[in-house]
Amino acid sequence: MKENFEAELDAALRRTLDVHAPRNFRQRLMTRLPEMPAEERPRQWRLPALAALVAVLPGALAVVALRFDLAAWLAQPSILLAVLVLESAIALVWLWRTVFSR
Amino acid sequence: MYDFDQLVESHQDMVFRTIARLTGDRLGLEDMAQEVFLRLFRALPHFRGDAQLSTFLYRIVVNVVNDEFRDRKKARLTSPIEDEQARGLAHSSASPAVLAERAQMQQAVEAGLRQLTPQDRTILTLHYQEGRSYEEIAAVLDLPMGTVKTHLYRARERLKLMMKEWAR
Repeated sequence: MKENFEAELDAALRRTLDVHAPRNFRQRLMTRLPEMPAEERPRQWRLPALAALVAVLPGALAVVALRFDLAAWLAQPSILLAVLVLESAIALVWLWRTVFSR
Repeated sequence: MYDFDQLVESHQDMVFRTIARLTGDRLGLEDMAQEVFLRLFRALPHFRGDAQLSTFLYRIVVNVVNDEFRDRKKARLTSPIEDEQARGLAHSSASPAVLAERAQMQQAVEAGLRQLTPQDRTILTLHYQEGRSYEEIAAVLDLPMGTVKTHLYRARERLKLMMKEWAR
């Protein structure tokens, strides 16, 4: 067995193949690229707007509910059932879109 | 934000030589390289930089080569393993010893590599040709580091066995 076989094997494995990209490969590739994705603008107004909405909306809803006696209206079994069905449907759609359809 | 043009410029040779060694031939080399960069281009906006870009790119290369093998198998094309050099390695009429007599150790190694499993070939290529660490190879192939070390050792031993005639 050749003494330097191990070293020669390692050298052969380490030797880089003499393969290079063709000179105009980059240009050809660039013509195949889909449109550059537009850089997403940071939407800095979103978070404060959402926070304001969250702060104001429950109060507004409470005022409306008190004025129109919404509690009594909601307490009717048919209305309660309809609201529950609607909420369940919305929850299911949301679940489907965010979890299962990925 | 990455400059894609610059990325292609700096990585294109690496992509070409890695694909060449992993497939063992030059068939469709440019098409595969283009596919690698197209996938990189599409994935780049989602790349969060929690891995090195080179690791990410090697992973794409490995996936593209695996897809190519799958397509070739589907199309019942002859595998590169069955080409002349590899056949030569398997038969006494053109054994590694003959290749050695022709001073073609390199050719024999390339032919031997083609007889290994794609995963072993990938590990040897990334370790020896590309000089990647065990850790990076593990990340590219999504394997534990211990598995990478074991595969590397076994693949090299298998290659050695194939070439024992040459070593006499």
